[in-house]
Amino acid sequence: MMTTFRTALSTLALLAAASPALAGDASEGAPVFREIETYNLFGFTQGADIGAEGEKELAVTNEAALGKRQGRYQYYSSKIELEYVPTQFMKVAVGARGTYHSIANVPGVDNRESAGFGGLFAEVKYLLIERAPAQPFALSALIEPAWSRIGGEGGRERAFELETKLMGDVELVPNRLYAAANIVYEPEAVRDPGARGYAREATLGFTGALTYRALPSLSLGGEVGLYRAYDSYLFSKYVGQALYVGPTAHVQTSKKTYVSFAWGAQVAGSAHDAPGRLDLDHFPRHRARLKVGVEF
Amino acid sequence: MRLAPLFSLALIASAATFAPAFAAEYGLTIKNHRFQPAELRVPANTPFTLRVDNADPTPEEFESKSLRVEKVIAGNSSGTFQMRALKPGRYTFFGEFNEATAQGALIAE
Repeated sequence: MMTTFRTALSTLALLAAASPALAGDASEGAPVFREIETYNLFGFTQGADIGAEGEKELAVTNEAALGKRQGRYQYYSSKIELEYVPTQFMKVAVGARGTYHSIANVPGVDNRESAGFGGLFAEVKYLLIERAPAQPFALSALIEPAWSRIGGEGGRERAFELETKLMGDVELVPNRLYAAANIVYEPEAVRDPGARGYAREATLGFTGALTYRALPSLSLGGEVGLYRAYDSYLFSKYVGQALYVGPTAHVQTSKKTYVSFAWGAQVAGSAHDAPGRLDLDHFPRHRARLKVGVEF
Repeated sequence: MRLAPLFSLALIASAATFAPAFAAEYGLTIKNHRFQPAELRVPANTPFTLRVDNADPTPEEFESKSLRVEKVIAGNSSGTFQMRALKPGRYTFFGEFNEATAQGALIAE
């Protein structure tokens, strides 16, 4: 995992060094740090910005969930989405998700090596409090209804989830240093094949991140995220929690393209009915995210 | 999956952000890949229309992160933006195709 992480960071550094935006700034003397959108600066944590009215973007987000208590567990999902900003206060998106599972010798989970079409989703993000010259704080709300046909353990299922998120960020040093926080609530109704009804689940998350623009086209930071899992829509049936810590990176590879990367390791946690200092029943040991976007 | 209700809600919400049709209009001109005037004063806390005339024969993309607008304006033509009520302050903008020279700012006051 560390080798993969180091490889990813090296690749991002090379991308930043090769970026035309950076080369242009450096050739004219001191680098110029212009305004940047915060949406993708913080890894798993989302910034509050929504983009410019009329902006369209095609993005691919690859996520990995790696490691359970025993055996080999690798779950990769790839989302492709089309985003559009119809007004100065709203962004909408639609997309589809593919999955790949490689699972062996994980207790209670079928061995599996499979890829498939995972489901569909839509997203609406609304800017509640906008950043202004004398007001560095911004706040947005997001809802993302999704339909899923393949679960995290690779089996067929029918699931409907509604991710809701409150995203705040603040520009601590203009155009250089940013902090962000998210509150995530994600209720989900899941029906496994043969089951008579839907099981109720929910995830509640609190994340925070800090990002520094080391170069005009390269931002580096770190984030922390606490996630709690429930076997109920609200919070009556707590089943586990996990705390992740990890680095983030964002490279503006050109004026219209970017790459963002994040990796998190579960450093603490607990499952309601299992011993140990991590919750590896409901959350993976490691998680990673690589997003590539192009505006047009 | 029925997305129609969701997008209907989105459209209704977005309609609330449009500036009224009678909003005052303020203008900028792009000439020789520079904005004229380079700084434009507009009233704060009032929606308005921003008109950008491109007097150059080549296209330019008018863009501003803080104003949250971007649009390609063809050579010898115009683009208009219905701007929300801005809080007081300086909002920078630039021409993406000629960023070295096409720089400017709106001063909301």
